[in-house]
Amino acid sequence: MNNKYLIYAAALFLLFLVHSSAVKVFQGSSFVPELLLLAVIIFAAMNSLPETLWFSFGAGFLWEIFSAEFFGAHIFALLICGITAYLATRNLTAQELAVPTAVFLVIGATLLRPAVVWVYQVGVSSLDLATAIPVGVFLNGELFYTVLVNLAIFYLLRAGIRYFPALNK
Amino acid sequence: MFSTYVHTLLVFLLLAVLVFLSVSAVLVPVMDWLRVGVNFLDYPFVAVFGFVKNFSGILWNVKNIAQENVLLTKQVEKLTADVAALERVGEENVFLREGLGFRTSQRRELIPVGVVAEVAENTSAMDLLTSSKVAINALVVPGGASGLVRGEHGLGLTFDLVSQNEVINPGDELLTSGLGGQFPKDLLIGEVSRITSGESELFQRASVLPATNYRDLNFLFVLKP
Repeated sequence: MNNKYLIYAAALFLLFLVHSSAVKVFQGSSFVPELLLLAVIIFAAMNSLPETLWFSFGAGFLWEIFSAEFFGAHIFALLICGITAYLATRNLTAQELAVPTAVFLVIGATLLRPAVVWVYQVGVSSLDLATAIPVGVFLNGELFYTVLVNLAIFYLLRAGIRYFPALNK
Repeated sequence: MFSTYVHTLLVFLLLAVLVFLSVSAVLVPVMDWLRVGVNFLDYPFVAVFGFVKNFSGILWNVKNIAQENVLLTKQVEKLTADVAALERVGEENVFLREGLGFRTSQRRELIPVGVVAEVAENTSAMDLLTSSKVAINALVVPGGASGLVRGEHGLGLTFDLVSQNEVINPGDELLTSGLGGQFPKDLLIGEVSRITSGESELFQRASVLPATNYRDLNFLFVLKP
């Protein structure tokens, strides 16, 4: 395993600790940035699809640790977000994350993640594995604030990555 | 390209396996252990976020205190104006009472204790209000409901025979009504402590908290009816 993967793994775990702590302290608040989701977007923009898949899987698994949804919902959601971010940065836009691209990715992923989690919940509830949760729990007006805080933190993270040239190889 | 498909397949296959293990409750203890471990590891972050949350709470409270201060200042100004106006009304009231020759009763400062029952050469014996031999006509203030205050075998007082149409509440004062002539009017008997009668009863009844402890008195006045 080279340096790049070690740094990504360490960064992902650090972001996970910060994310889970913030969720724990600011329970129910929409102002908690979704650090794991942002990490997946940034990773997808800079790496290959197989790498993005495994990174998204890892991030989703870590999210499962502090989430209350049926197991697998966040792994599935982050996989979809990772693949979408990868395809968007390769096919729709230039690979360099310009402001409009970044805004599009962050807003899209912030809305896509809860939508996919809801679809997943509907799927498992149709199999009688869990109770159905109303869509309003996942997709509501408070997502607006999450989008804003995600956008702000996204640029901080993106700027932080520039200090690790090994990650850009 | 082939590699990408294989990786995609593997990732979703692994997800399916994990979901299966979760449904089979095999994964649950593993996740629980992970949560315990994370609780230990994220302690410094939780402490920092907790401090930020508390600090922002303090700032928010300071903002609220400033608003509350403005509100209270306004209330103080209003109450000061009200007090000044009331003082003026009070002075005017005193002036009018003097002009019209009104007298304020001071009787409420006196408390009935009982009735002199036997008189000897140097001593006398009395029945306290708590004695079942004594009954006083009483009035409730406020409201003016009338009834009879009776002793309860030396144990306490009961306010009885109050019409169901009257309103009596715990905390209301009971004064002698002066009816019957045994006690002068406006002596403070005590206050209504608890309504003991039901709605279906003919009269209302209440227990009375006496205005003083009858067993702990040093000086008494004897009033002749």
